[in-house]
Amino acid sequence: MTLKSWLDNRWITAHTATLGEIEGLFAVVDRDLKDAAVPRLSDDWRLGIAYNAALQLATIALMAEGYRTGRERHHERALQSLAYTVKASTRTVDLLDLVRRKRNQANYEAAGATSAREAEELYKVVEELRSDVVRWLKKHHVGLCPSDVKA
Amino acid sequence: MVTDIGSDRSAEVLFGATRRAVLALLLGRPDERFYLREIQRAIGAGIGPVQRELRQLADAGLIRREAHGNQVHFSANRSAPIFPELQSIVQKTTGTAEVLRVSMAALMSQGLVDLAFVYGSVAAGRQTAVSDVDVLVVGEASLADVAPALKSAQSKLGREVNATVYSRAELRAKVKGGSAFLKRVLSGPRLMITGTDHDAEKLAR
Repeated sequence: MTLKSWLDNRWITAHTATLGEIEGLFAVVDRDLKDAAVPRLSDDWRLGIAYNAALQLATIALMAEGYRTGRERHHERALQSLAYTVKASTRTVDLLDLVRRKRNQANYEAAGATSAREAEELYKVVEELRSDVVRWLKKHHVGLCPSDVKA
Repeated sequence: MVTDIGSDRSAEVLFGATRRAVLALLLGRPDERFYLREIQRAIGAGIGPVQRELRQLADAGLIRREAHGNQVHFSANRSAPIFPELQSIVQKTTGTAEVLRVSMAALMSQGLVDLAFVYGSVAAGRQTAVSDVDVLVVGEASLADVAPALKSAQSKLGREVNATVYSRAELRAKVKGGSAFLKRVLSGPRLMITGTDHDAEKLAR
């Protein structure tokens, strides 16, 4: 599988990203990572907020490569695309996909279904992912990397 | 060659390999209907043995056989008098719990999981076609450790699998703090993957 084959399958569409778009998404990522570190929030919310940051990071990398996800299975495909854009490990992609499923449960069905350890683990993974995406942008799409964003 | 998704000896003694696989598929997804070819593909058995098992199970009233024109569907028979008991046996031995036990075997042998069980609608036998499998894991495993095992189980079960991973200390602290979620999960129906009911009940106190 490649992103080109995803495009042929219509899982993603072609998109020309602008620096402004990427800056906007990084602002969301940084807001979410800041909020996900607030200890007085519930573990469910901290997990959900860190997850949103991961989703935006996946979207940044996919947009920089010239694509965006379609409506169908948008979250799942955005997260899986990390394996093709920034070459995220299977371990990271599998973890994010598990959190995607878990988040539905924690948000809508079962308050308290997240442990503090899970929220902390995800936070660290997303912080690392942010660094990976920034380094990758600087190397492969320097024109789309906001000048004030640090790895 | 039948795809043997379980390794529990009690299941082997009770049912032959093909019957075990047919029951695991139909009773594990009781709101779905399957064609003969779908069943055969899903369990990887020869057409003859699968037809024989389906005929015997349908004749005994344990599964439904419905003809629609040229096509025949097979499904679990929720009206069978022993449906709840049979589903429970299949879930514990060949079905959901056993699939998860096999998928999580490496984590257990590394001592990363002390206790794990399925809770919610699947454990209560009230699952629908869209029900997820909800798993509580207690031990030192991280979510990243558990994720590949659950991914593997998910593809075998044909259902999404969710997990909540707790250390023993955090779980005890949250139970003492009055977590409604954990109270409900620890006092509700369970399908044990590893550990005993007694272990789970002790954590609820």
